[in-house]
Amino acid sequence: MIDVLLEGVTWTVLGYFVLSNGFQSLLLVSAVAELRSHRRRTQGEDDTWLLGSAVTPRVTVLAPAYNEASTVGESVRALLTLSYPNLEIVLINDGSTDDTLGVLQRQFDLVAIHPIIRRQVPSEPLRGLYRSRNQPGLIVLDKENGGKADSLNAGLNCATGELLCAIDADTLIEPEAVLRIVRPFLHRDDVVAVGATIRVANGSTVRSGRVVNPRVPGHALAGIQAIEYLRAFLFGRLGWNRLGGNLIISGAFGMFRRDAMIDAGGYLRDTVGEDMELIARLRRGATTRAGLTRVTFVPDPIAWTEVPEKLATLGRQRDRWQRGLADVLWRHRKAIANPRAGALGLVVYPYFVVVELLGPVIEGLGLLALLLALVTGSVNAHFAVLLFLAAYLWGLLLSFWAIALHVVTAKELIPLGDLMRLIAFAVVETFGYRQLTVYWRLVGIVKYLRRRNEWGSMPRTGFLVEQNSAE
Amino acid sequence: MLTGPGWLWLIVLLEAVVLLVTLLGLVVGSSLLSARRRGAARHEDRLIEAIASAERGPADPEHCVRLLADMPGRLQLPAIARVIDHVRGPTAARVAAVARAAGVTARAERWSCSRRRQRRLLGARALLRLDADEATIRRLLDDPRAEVRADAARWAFTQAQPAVVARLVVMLDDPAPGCRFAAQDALTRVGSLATGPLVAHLGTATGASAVTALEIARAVAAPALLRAGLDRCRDASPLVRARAASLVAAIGESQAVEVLRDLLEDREPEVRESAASGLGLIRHLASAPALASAMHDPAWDVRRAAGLALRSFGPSGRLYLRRVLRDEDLFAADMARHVLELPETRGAVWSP
Repeated sequence: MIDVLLEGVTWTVLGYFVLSNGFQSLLLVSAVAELRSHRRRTQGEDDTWLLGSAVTPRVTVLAPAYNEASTVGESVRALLTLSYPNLEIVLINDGSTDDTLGVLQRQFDLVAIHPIIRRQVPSEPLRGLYRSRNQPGLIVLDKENGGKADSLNAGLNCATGELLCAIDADTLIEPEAVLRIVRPFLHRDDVVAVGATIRVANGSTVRSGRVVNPRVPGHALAGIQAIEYLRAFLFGRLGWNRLGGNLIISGAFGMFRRDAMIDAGGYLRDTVGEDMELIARLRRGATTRAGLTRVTFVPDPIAWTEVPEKLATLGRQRDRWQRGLADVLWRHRKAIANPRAGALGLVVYPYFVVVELLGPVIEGLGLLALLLALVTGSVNAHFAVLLFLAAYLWGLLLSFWAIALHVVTAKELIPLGDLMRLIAFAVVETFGYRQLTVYWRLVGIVKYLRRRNEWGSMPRTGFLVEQNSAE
Repeated sequence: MLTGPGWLWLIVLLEAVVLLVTLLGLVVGSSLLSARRRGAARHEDRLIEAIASAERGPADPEHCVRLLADMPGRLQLPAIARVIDHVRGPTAARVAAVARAAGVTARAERWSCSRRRQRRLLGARALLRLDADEATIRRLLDDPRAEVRADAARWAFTQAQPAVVARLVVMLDDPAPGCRFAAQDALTRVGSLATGPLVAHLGTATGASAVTALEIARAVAAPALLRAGLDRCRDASPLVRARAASLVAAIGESQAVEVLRDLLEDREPEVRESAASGLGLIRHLASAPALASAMHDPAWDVRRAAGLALRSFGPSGRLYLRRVLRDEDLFAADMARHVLELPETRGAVWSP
């Protein structure tokens, strides 16, 4: 009986790997087609022409900051140098207990201004609103602590832009990224949100809030995450453009239509997956807003983020992501496999349920079953090794393709050493790291089931600035 | 009991082979790509250096031409496009002359007529930067590919002859949003030259096209556009009426006041908001009582616009705001308080 059960689990896991990797391969094919089409459209284009335009839509960058005194000055300076002709930066100090507001006041000569703000979406009370004397495009909003979603809602109430760019305060955005992420809104009438590529900044040299020497992280944990980010963005999100549209826009850098966000009621404040939940709501509500249905991803606007280099921090992050995913899928469960939701209901949601949400459960069970089966002799070692190899090599192939897309799309030349390092990280990812992520995600699911919706924290170490790299 | 079946072996073997080929392709391809990019950058650097030397003093312009002509064909158009994007005025003219002498412009011209879509786009993009005369722009504005039309529209302001401007106005109805945006941008740049075609367009345009035309007209704000604006203030679409109100306020003739005061009573809040802002823009003091009345409007945006309009009248407007402060309507009083408390410093008002 146990033999039959273990054998059944083994075959289920095999089926899961075929389904998961098969869909990932489909995403890859779709991403390659999408990338080709994107390159053909933009080849030879002068993307700076918008700089001289008087009719560009106003963009408000919303940057929430909580206890980021060590990096906030650098981040704001980088935001102020973004190339875009009609830009407003709203930095939201989410009741920081450190000197975040003080740093901003000293560095940007803030003066209190009087707000006439219509509270269109709910947020914690404002404590003050400031404008910089030396940087006219900078507004600082000081409010009671309420979390990231609450901060973004407060920013949404104050924003004057037609388009909102939601970022993390410590995200480093490339100067021309806003010019590029705006493009889909100008080229299509039905776009409601746009996502962009996030790359890992660990190990790169940063000068004045800009990544001036992009490198592959030397730290193994950060390096493996760099591979994950390449896979997630270069073929995960890009591929979805042709397979039912995106369900995730990274909280680190994304752009939205302000009126659609207000219609949708802004970010939900009682979920840890506010970014994904907003997209799910925008897409679900699309039928009531004529035509505004498209959530798209463009590969060439680049933003950089620091990833955790400590297992405990990374574990908390993944656990939070999984709780967010579970929460969003539960809240929007009526759309799952619902033909009335179109491709979103029939392709996107089922993928997220089976592969992203239940993936760790199946993988975890499979791993246990395989070990048990080996011990009890239900499966011979030969078969187990072959099964593992089949799944591993397919996954590795997908990682290599993600690296290849990175090599082709990166504007910088990738040194051979960095390329080899990326390949090495892709090879070792499966041994230990993958099992850890399965564990963290399982913890996330268990916590979600217990309704422990706390935020979790991610201490920042600050970017490697040029002086450090010279030492 | 499961054993290692042959099919699984085959899959693993196949995967291993594909993986090795991919790995090899990745390493070799990456090296080749790097070498190719380095080569292209070297060519471009040499060209830029030669052009800079020619700018600095006596230098052989033929040297630049030779450098460009000796470049591999695939690099010529992108290289010259990148160089010309970063220079202006006489230097841009000299770069264009170099491109012409090296045969790059002729090639761009040929490509811009190609039946191959991508080649036509690349040719058009290069040609528009190098030598975009009126005939070229008119031809490209009628191209079947939306990206080509949009690019031609971007450059159309450099050749703002009546026929080009008229075509740009027609493009406000283009099915491709990118073309409509580029046309709007170009028409805003050409300014008063667009007045005639805009007046004609506003006579017939509907919906989004009328809204865009009114936005351009507002930026141009030529008195000849007033009649069209006044007519549009009676349009069935609230968005059109709101934009028309902004247009007539921007022109600011006496006829505008009466219409704006009528629009203060419009059934749509966005129109009432535009009308209130317009009266503030014109600073029509006699409209202060009507604006004070608008402070009781059920829509927040209208109350704010009316309050700010009264504030723009100076001491007399403040007097009206102070009266509203004592009003029984708490919403009106609250908005009046907000507006009165705004600091005087220019730029200190924060009003989304």
